[in-house]
Amino acid sequence: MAAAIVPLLAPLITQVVVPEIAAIIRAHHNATGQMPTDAQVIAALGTDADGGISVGQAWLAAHPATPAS
Amino acid sequence: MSPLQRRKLLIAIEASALSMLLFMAACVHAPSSITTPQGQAAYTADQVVQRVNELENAAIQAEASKALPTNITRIIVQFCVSADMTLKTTPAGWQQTVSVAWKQAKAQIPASVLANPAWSATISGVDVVLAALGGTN
Repeated sequence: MAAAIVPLLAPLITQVVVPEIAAIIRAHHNATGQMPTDAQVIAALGTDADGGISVGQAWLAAHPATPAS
Repeated sequence: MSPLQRRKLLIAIEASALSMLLFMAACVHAPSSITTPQGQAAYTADQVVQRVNELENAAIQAEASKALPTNITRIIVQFCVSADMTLKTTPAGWQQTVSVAWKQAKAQIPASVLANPAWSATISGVDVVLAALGGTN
């Protein structure tokens, strides 16, 4: 039984649990280990959104829609 | 369904469920240091932005490795750019706009892509974040 479960749990832990816990810790603490302030989360929203917009727009510009694609 | 496919599907389902639980635990309670409504709205919107950016990066990487067609990737990336803009400009009122856009984007993605275990966890992550934070999907 254990031999069958371990192969299922290993990718689950490495691909989901660890990244999610890391994201939770990052979300609750800033770079200095302190809990974030209102101003910091407002700034983080702008920074994170701008990053996604920038990456997405660059990709879209490099991959224009064509009838074939 | 082969044993390998069944195993991958099981992992994807488990991953989705676990992501949902972890996300709910993380996002329902903003850090106690965030005290204003504006800060709490920004915190919640930023959590969604992070999931949207994960989806965008996964789609771009998959397209680069030929695992996802370019036209499908374009649909996902266009949604992500649009959602990020909405979340940034209206952190307290993004739910309806982003949820409708996500529903429309998903409607254009073939069922075979949505059902692919390699994608289901990432897509479920967006579904969960929208459902948990007031949107519908």
